[in-house]
Amino acid sequence: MRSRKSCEQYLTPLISQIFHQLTITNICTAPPLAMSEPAVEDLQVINLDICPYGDMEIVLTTSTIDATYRVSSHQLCSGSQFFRAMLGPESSFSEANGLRRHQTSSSTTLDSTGSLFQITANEEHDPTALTTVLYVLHGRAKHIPESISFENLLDIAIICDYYDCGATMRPWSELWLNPLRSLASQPGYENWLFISWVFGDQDIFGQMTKRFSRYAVMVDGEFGVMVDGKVKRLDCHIPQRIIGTIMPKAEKEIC
Amino acid sequence: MADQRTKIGQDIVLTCRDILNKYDDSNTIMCNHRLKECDYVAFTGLRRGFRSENVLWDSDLHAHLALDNLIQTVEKVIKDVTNSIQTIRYGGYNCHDCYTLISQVVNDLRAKLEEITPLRLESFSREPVATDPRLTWNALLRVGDVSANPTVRLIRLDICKYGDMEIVLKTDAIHTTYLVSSHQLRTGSRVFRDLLSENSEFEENNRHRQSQTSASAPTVNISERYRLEIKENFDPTAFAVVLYIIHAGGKNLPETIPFKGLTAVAAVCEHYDCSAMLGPWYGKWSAQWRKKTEKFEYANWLLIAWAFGENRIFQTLAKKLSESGIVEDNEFLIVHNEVSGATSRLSKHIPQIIIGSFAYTM
Repeated sequence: MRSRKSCEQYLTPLISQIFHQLTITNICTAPPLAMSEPAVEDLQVINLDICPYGDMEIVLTTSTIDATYRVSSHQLCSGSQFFRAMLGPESSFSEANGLRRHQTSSSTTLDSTGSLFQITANEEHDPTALTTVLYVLHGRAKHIPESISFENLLDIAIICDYYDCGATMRPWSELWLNPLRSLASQPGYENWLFISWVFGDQDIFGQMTKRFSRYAVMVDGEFGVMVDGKVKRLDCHIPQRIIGTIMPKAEKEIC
Repeated sequence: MADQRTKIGQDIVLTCRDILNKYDDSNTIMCNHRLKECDYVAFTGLRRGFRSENVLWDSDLHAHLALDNLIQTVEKVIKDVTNSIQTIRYGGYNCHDCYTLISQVVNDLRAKLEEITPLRLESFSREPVATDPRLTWNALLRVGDVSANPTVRLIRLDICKYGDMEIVLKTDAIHTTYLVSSHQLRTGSRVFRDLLSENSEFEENNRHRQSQTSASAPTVNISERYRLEIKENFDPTAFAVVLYIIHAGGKNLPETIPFKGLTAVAAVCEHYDCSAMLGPWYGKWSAQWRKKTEKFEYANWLLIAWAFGENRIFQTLAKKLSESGIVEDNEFLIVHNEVSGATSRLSKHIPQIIIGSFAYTM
C-alpha cells in the first residue's frame, strides 16, 4: 500500500480545468425551443438539423415560412406508422424508391452538403409544432419544450394524428398534458376530446365523451358542441367512429 | 352511450307527452269543475310552454340535439308555470302535484345523465393502446432474449426497428446485439460521430459505408448490415438503456434504477460522450441516490458526477476520496475502514484522467 497524502491542492485546479472543458463541449446550454413565434411579414427561411446526420429532408412551405428539416428515415419509420408505410423497407411508394436511390448514390459521400432526398410536409401544419414533433421522434431532449400552451398542443396533436405518432410522443405528451388537465371541464376547451384521443389519455377522453353526450349537436351534418348556448363546431378531425357512437342518428338526419 | 342518450331523450319526451295527454283528459274534467283552478293554470301553462318551446321532439329525428338543451327547456317551462301558479295562489290551495311530478322526473333524468358511461379509448385507437409496461432494470434485457444456449445468453434488441447497423457487445455471460440507426448514434454521441463520420479515418467507417451501399437494395438483407463490435466491458443493460434514449425509445424505461445501474449508465455515457442526451432521465434516476453521495458504498458517485457534469458533487467527493483513497495498479481503491485497512474497489470505468490525477498527487 502506497502512502497517501492529501492531493486536494493539486486536484482542484485540475478538476476545474476538466470541468471547464466539459461545460463547453458536452453540456449544451441551448435553450428549449420557444413555442411562440414572432409574427413575421416576410418569408422566413429556416434550416433545422433535427438529426444532423440524417439521410433525408422534410420541407414545409407555408405562406410565412420555408422550413427544411434534416431527419433520419430510420427514426421516422420507427416512430410513425405513416412514415413506415411511406418509406419503410417493404414500401413500394415512390417516396421509398426515391429514398433508396438517394441512399445508393450518396452513400459514399455521407456528409456531403449535396442534395438529400426530400419529401414535402402538409402545408397546413404549424411549423413550430412540426419541429417539436420531429425533435421528439428523434429524442433530442434538450430541444423539446417542457410546457406547451393548449393551442400549441392542439397543433401538435393535429400533426401526430396525421403522421400517426401520438403514442411515440410519450413521455413528453404526459409532461405537456398534465398542467392542462384542469381545463378539460371548462367551456372553450372542447378540443380536449381530440387531444386526449391522439395521445391516448383515457382519463380525459372519458370525461370529454361523457360531457359530449349531453352537449353534442349535429348541425348540417357537422359535429358540434353547445357552449354557453351557442353551437361551436370542432375543426379537428375527430374520427367518424367516435362521432357515430356519441351521435347514433347522425346519418339518419342527413338522409 | 348513444343508446343511453336516446333513452334519456325519449324518457323526457314521454313524460312531457303524458302530461299533455293528462291535460286533454282533464279538460273534460275541468268542465265538470272538479279540478281546482290552480291545476288548470298549471296544465295550461305546461301545455303552452311545451308546445311553444317545441319540447315534443321526435326522439329519432332529434337525437342529434344537445340533450342538455332539452332538459333546460323543460326546466324553464316548469319554472315559468311555477311562477304563474305562485301568483294565483289564492284561496289556500297549494300547487297540484303535476309540475312537482315533472320536476322530479327531470331531476331523475338529470341524475341519469351523470351515469352515462364514458367511452373507452381502446375501441377507437388505431393501434392497441396497451400502455407499454414500464420494464424494471432487470427485465430490460429479457425482452430480446433469444438464447438457446444456457452458458451464453444471446440477446437481440431492436433499439431502432428500421436501423441500418448493429452493435455487438460481448461480455462473459451475455452476447447482446443491438439494432440501431447510425444517424442517431452520430447525432447523440461525439464518439460515434467521429467513428462513423465521413472524414473518419477509422476502419469502422469504411466498412460502414460499404455496407450502406450494398444494403440499399429494396429489401435490406439482415446479414448485410454493418456490425460494430464493442470491446469495452460495459453492462449490457446500461448500454441498452443509453441506446434506447439516444433513439427516443424511452417510453418503457423504468422510472427508477438501482445505483449499480446508474453507475453503469454513467460509464457508458462517459465513454461515448452522450450524457447530454439523457436529459430528463438522469434527473429522475439520480434523485433517489442524491442524498447518499457521502457514504462510501456510493463512492461511484465520483463517476456519475463526472459523467453528468455535477460539478459540486464531484468536487466534494474528489476532496473526500483524495483523503481516503489509494491508487493501485491504475485502479482506484478507497479505504473505508481505517483500522483494518479494508478497501473497496471503485468502478472500472472511472476515466484514467481522474485516477491519474489522484495518483499524481499521492
